[in-house]
Amino acid sequence: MNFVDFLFENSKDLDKIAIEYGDNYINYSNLYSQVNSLASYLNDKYGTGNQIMLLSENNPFFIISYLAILKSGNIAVLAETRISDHDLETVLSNCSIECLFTQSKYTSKFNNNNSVFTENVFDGRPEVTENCTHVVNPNDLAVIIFTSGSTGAKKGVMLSHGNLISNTDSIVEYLGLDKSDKVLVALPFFYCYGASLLHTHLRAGGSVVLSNSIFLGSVLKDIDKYRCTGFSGVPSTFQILINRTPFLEQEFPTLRYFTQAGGKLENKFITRIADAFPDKSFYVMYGATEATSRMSYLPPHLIKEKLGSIGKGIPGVKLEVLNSSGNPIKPGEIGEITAVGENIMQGYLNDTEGTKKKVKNGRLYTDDLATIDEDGFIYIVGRANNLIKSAGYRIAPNEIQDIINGIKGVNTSAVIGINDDIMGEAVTAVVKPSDSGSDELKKHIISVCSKNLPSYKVPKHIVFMDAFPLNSSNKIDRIKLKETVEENLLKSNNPKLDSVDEILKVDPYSLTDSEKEAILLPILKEQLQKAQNNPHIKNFFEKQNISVSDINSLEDIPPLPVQMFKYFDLEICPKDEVYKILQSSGTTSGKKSRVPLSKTTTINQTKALKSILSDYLGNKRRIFLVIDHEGMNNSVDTFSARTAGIRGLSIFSKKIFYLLKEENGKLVLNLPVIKEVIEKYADYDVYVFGFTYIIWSTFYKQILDEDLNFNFNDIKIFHSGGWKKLKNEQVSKEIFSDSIANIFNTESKNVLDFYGMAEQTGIIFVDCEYGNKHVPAFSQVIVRDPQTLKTCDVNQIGMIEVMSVLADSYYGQAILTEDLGYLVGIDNCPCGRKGRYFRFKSRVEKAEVRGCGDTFKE
Amino acid sequence: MSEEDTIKKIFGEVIGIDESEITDSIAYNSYESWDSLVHLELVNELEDTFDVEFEMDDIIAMETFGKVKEIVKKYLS
Repeated sequence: MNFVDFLFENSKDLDKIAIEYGDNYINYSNLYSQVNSLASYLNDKYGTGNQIMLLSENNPFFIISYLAILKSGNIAVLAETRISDHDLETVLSNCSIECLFTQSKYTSKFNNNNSVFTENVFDGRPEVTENCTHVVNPNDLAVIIFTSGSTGAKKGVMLSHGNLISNTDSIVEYLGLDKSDKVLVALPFFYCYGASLLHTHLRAGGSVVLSNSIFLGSVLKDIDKYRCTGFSGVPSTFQILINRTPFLEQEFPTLRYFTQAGGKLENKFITRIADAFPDKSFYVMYGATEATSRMSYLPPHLIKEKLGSIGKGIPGVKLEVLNSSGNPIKPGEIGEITAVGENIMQGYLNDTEGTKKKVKNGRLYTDDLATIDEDGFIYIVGRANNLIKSAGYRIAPNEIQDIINGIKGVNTSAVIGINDDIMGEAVTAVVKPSDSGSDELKKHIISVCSKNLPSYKVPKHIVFMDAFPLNSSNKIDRIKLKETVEENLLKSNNPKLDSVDEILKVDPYSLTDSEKEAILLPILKEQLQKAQNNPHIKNFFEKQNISVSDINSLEDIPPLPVQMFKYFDLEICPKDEVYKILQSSGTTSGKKSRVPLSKTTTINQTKALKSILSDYLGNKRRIFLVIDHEGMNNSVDTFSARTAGIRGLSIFSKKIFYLLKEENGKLVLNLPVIKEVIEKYADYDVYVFGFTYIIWSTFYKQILDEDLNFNFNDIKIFHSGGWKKLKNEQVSKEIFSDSIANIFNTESKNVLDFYGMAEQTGIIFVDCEYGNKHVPAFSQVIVRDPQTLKTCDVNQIGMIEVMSVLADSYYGQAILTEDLGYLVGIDNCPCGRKGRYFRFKSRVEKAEVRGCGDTFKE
Repeated sequence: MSEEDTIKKIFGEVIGIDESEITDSIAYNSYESWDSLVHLELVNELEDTFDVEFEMDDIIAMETFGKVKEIVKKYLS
């Protein structure tokens, strides 16, 4: 069947709007008749099977010409309107173009050898009543779309009528499109994503609204003005709308869904959109021109649960992630995404070799690397090739490099994409200068690029580098290069993040894991160098053959088993700076930990806690309710986890109330205080701290018998410790949170478990609303295998190591705890906090780390 | 009583130190009884007496008696 007949199968006679633009519209019967008339003309003049180029923006001219070319049994050749003269030349020489359709403003791009049709092609065209369709076989070509290949040379993707029909059917099915749907199109039809919007809505009998303003922000008004039900964008569409317009504050009463494809939209943006529009569906999708357009989608109801996933294959597409031996990968492994289905292209135009690499036995190899989870949902982890995706364009670095390398003063260059909140990726040229890099050279490079390249390919950043990181085959290691450049740019944006003081000032969850690695490592190394003055520490390093100068990553720093605080004097600052030894009775054995404190350490700890708590409590001090008795604080010399928690968290308090008291050696409710708080501080912002086990066994169990009604304006309940006892009572974290939230008349998400220890006072790892513990800027968490001390992978349980830059008075740089836990992920928690996030599992049964005790003793 | 005298009096009472022994260099945590909880008591007393509300960062910055005076005065000016 001819694809155009398929599109109009149910709608060609309808008196219903098909296309809207500005204040104009075209209904179905009119559209069909114009298409039919032009198709008849093309048939008469050229016959069938010819390549006809179409170069136009989104407008009725594009739509009618496009559909007429296909209907007449000819082949539409599509390219982007901003194509460079050089690329256009390549395209034209690669094709045998019979004639071309283009807007009159682009005719100067072409020489006179071809017959050119412009907007006036419809003028005076007679109506043709007879259905002029050239019936085609499913494998007959319908369209050739030129897209950037990995080498930069444009490749013509050949799609058949069968390809288009099958992919259109699948998309209509999973998006549930029907006659009532109307999509606002801000994506160009010359790329497959935009084309698919046109195809699916015509097939469903819905309508397409052309968004013509060059300002993307106008879509906010247009969605309401045209009463659209759908809106589609690439990552930069949504990033620009979020960052530059009041997009997230809109209501869009008519809108049913959003779709997003064309690259990875960062999880934080997905989460923000999903949160802002809870009653609308947000479809994350994945595709490629080589697969007509679409290969997978994530069902919208799973958007949070499977955040960051591209979902699974769409109806009719078998999407599999294969390892290098061609077998499907297991969850957690990485492989290449492949697809089998009727939507897979016929091949690249005049490129049998390229086609063979891409399609083997009908299976498309995407070059996209991915992993899957237990339920088979696919997560892309990287690209096998180096294409830069910027502002919706696919940009191959070679062409830009070639131009830059030709500039005097440039030795060589590598063009990469670095993460950018607006562009998705920003084109960045890393340049090795012939002698030295100057601002003039930078300006010159930009000006040469601007002259020779469309603006979207002109580098946004120029970075000078004397040597590029190389991989084993002596080629530039682009992944490493990207990391280095991103770190350098971050440093130049945050030039002062080189001291503990400065780190304590930043938003504690704003740094990515790689940023933290770069910022923390030099500071820690400097501290470790000073720590060598302590003979025990020196010995600890020497016996393991570790020299501070050889440490190249946070992982290389030897973690000190926390038990060592019981047996050794671990101060690393001059004796007279230690004003106090904190003694902690926190651990299970009788011996106390001894933690030497200096003024600097204490101040850093206080600032750190303030920074962490501000993230959860805001900047206003609150009423502090302690679920413990006041007598807890009397022991000055020894801190338990309970006292440490009260003291640490108290920095946010305006007033402290202790909700329990001691009576005959037992903890009971302090009812007069509780009643006073309820009476005086209803509608206040409060926060609560208690030891988890005491909250449950004393406070919760006793308060159930009382008729008390807590009603605060805002409440956050922090708790920590004693899970083992609760597990014995069969109380899970969920039951605990729900029950305690219920008592305080609040939601479970306000009950926050945290993890911390006296030896790392100042750092608490607090749950986010997704139950993950987050690592603040001034610290790092590494999970290590208990036997080998090797770093564990994400989701692999091991011993928790806590690193910190806060202490200048003792070895707090890397402490190996007696606790088991696992990393849940890095930089991508749906709550939006950057860096690592983990979960606590349990205490080690019998805590002992092989070797460490032996190497430590002098 | 001058503002400075009032601050000194409150400081002495809360920390538990004779006013004659108070110097500007007496520092948080270096003086035995001036710990985190006592610090909050001090802050609360100062806020109640002078009817001000300190910013979190200022509370943390009150590291010495000298700093305490300086910060309280900033709020009173």
